[in-house]
Amino acid sequence: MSVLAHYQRQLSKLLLEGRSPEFIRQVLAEDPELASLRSYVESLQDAPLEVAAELAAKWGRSL
Amino acid sequence: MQVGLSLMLDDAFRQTALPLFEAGDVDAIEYSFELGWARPWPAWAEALLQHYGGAGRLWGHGVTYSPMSAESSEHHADWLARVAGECAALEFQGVSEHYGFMGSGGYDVGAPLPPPPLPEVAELGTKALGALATVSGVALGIENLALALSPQDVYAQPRLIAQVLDTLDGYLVLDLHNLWCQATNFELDPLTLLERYPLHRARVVHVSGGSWSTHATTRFRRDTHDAQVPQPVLALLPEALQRCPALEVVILEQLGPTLADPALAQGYREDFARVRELCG
Repeated sequence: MSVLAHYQRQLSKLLLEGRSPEFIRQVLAEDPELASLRSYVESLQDAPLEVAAELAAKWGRSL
Repeated sequence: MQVGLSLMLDDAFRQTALPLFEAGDVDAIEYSFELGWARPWPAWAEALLQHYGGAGRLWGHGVTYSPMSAESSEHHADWLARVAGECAALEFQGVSEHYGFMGSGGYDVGAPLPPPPLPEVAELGTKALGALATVSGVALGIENLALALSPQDVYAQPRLIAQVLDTLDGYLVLDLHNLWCQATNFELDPLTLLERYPLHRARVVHVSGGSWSTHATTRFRRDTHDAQVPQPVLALLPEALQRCPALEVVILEQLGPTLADPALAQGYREDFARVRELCG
């Protein structure tokens, strides 16, 4: 699986689980398959992650 | 400059927009495919779609294609088949989708998210949106997203959109409220951000309102389409008009059910008049 596919899958899963921004950043930053994205992951901000989780709770689903 | 409306299928929209249509003030309409997948077209909406399509003033728009998902081949195939049906039934000037991804590998987060700034994002977007251009047989557009998770997303988006549009010779749907959301949320000058986009490719501009949410001590601007167009977004419109030489139409967007509120319905008509005035 590509880095992009793994990131998208992991981020989507965490948002759908309603995880906090701190938890999301920590899980993604510690994922060895996402090492090349670590600086990006660490730059993800609280407010938009909370908004994304809210949208996922309202409109999202696991297929 | 044409001024148009994003078509909604509910009765509140019909009642609110009817005076504008009757006055001949609506030059064009944009139709979001997914609206018609959730419910049948009312007869009045189908008449408008056929009329504006026949006049060469109908634009198609998607929300849920998710062109930058790395693992969505089955979803993409289903979505394209449905849009192919719409394009066989209606005459669109172009079809567009949002930048971003809505999930991957069996997870759907329900709204487009920005992809991380990886080189393969442009390749994925080009492949998926190229397929949309093929099935639709018309010009292909991309809309800039409001939601950014990181400052890096704000800077990557214009570059990646330009890469995909250059490859596909597509057009930019420049959403001014989305641009203002990012500028506000990441404390950037909106004009400086505007100029990062491939403005020579902009054929469609969107204007809309939105809302604020609060997170700890942070106010965050959101693209919720449930309020009047804010003054800073209206102020960006003349700036965009000056900088976008290929621009054809400015589309006002607002969710139909919000127009059941008489004050919001009046505000919507005022927004339309203001946009029309700014467009000359």
